[in-house]
Amino acid sequence: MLEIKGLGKRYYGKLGGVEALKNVDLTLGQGEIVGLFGENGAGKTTLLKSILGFQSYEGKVLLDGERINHRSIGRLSFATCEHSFFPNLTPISHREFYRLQFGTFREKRFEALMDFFELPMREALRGYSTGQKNQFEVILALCQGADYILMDEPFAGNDIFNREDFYKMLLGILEPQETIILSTHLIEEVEKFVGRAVLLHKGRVVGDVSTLELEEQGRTLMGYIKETCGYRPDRVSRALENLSDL
Amino acid sequence: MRREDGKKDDLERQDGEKAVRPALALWALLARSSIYKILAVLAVTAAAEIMLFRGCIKAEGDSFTEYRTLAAVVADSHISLFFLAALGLVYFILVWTEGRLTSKSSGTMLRLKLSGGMIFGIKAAYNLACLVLLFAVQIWICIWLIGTYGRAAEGYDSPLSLFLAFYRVDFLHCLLPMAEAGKWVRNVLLLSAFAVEAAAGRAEKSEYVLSILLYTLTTVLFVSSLGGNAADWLSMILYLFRIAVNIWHVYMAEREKVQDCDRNQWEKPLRRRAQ
Repeated sequence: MLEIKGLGKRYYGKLGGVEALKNVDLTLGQGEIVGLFGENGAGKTTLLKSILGFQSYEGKVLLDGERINHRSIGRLSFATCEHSFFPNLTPISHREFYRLQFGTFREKRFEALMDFFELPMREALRGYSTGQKNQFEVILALCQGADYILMDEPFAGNDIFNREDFYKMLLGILEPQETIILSTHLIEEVEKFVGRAVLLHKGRVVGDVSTLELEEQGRTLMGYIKETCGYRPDRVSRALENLSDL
Repeated sequence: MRREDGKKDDLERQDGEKAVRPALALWALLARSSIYKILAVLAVTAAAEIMLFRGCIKAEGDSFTEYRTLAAVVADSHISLFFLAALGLVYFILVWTEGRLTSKSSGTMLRLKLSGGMIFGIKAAYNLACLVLLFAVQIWICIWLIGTYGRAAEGYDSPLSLFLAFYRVDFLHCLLPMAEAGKWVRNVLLLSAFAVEAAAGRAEKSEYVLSILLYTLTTVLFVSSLGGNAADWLSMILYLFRIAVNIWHVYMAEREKVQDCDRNQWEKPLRRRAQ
C-alpha cells in the first residue's frame, strides 16, 4: 500500500514561494488503476515526483508502512512525457541495464510489447519518433517489474489509435498486484480505463471517487471534474462578449 | 547444522550478487556512454605523438648520423601538450557523460537501487579507471618512443638509457616519477581530483568555471622540475581541496535526501549532486 500523508511542496522563485501541493492525503492500494486529474499547475507532476523522491517535500510517503529508500524504490516505476530513458542506448541495452538494475524486469512482456508496437530493437532511441519514444518510455515502466507504475502524461504526442491500443493492452497485461497511477488531461479517453479518479485543484485533493460510483449515479467523469473544480460553462461566452464590447 | 550453515552461506552469496548487479549495471552504462569516445581520443593522441616524435628525431640540416638529445626531441615534438590536451578531452567527456545522464535521464538515474553515495563512488571509480588508462597509454607510448629514439641514435638503446630518460626529461619524470614519492602522491591526487570532480556533477555554472580552472592550473603546473617544489605543493593542495569539497557536497546531499528525514522541508531544495 502506498500512503501519502500531509504532503506539501513549495517552489521558490524570484518572486517568492508558490505552494504547489498542500496537505495531500491519499492511500493507493495494490491493483488499483487511478487517474490523476486537474488543470495545468494543479500539482499532478509535483505529486508524482514527490512520491518518487525526486524533490524535497513536507509530509510522508510510505510504501507498506515504510519510507521509500533506494532499496524499495525499485517497486515504483515512472513513465513521463519528458522521457527518462538513455537516448544513446538501444532497447537491447536498456533491457540489459534494467535486468541488472531491477532484478524483477519482465522480459517476456518487454519483447511482446516491443513486437506489438513494432519498435526497432537495435536502433538508438534518439532516432525514434516522438510517438515511438513515448511508447518505449511506457514499455520500460511496465516491464520494470514494479508494483506501482506512475505515469505522467505518457501519451502526449501519440495519435488516438495508438493510445486506444495502449489502454487495451494495459488492461490485458496488468497483474492483480500492479497499481497504475496515471496523470493525464485525456479525461474522456481514460474514463473507461481507470477505476478511481483523484482530482487535484490548486495543490489540494478536491475529489476522490470511484468510476463505478459515478456510473451508478449516472454522471460522467468529465461532468464530475467540471463540477468539482467549479468550471463555468459561460466563461467563454462572457469573455467573447467583453471582447466584442471593446 | 552444516547444511543450515551452507544454506545461510548460499543466501548471503545470493544477496551479495543481487547487491553487485545494480553497481555493475551502472558501470556498464557509464562505459557504454563514454568508453568509445575516450578510446578514440587515446588513438588520435598516440598517432599524433608518434608522428611528431619521429619527425623530430633527426636534427634539421645535419647528416643522418647526428641526432638531437632526447630532451630536445620530447620538447620539440610537444608530447606534453598533446598529453595535457588528451587529459582535458577525457576529463570533459567524463563531465559531459555525467551531465547527460543526470539531465536527459534523470527519471531513471534518480530511481536506481543504489544509494547516492554508492552512485557517486561508482562514477568516481569509473572515471579514475579511464584517467589511469590515459596515463598508462601515455607511459607506454613514451617507452616505445624512447625505444625508437634509442634504435635510431646509437648508444641510447639500453635499459639504463630508458631508466635515465625518466629522470632527465621533466615531462617523462612527471608522468612516471620513478623514485620521487612526492610526485607520485601528486599524480594520485590529480587522478582522484579529476575523477571525483567529473563524478560530482554540476548544478551551477560557477562549478563549470571551477572545473575549467582546475584543468587550466593542471596544464600550467603539471610539468615541473625534479624534486619537490612549490608547483607540486600548490597542485596537491588544490586537488585535496577539490576532492574534499566534492565529497562534502555529496555527503550533504545524501543527508538531506527526502526519504531519510522527517523534518520540515519548506526550504529551497538542495542540489542533488550525488545523483
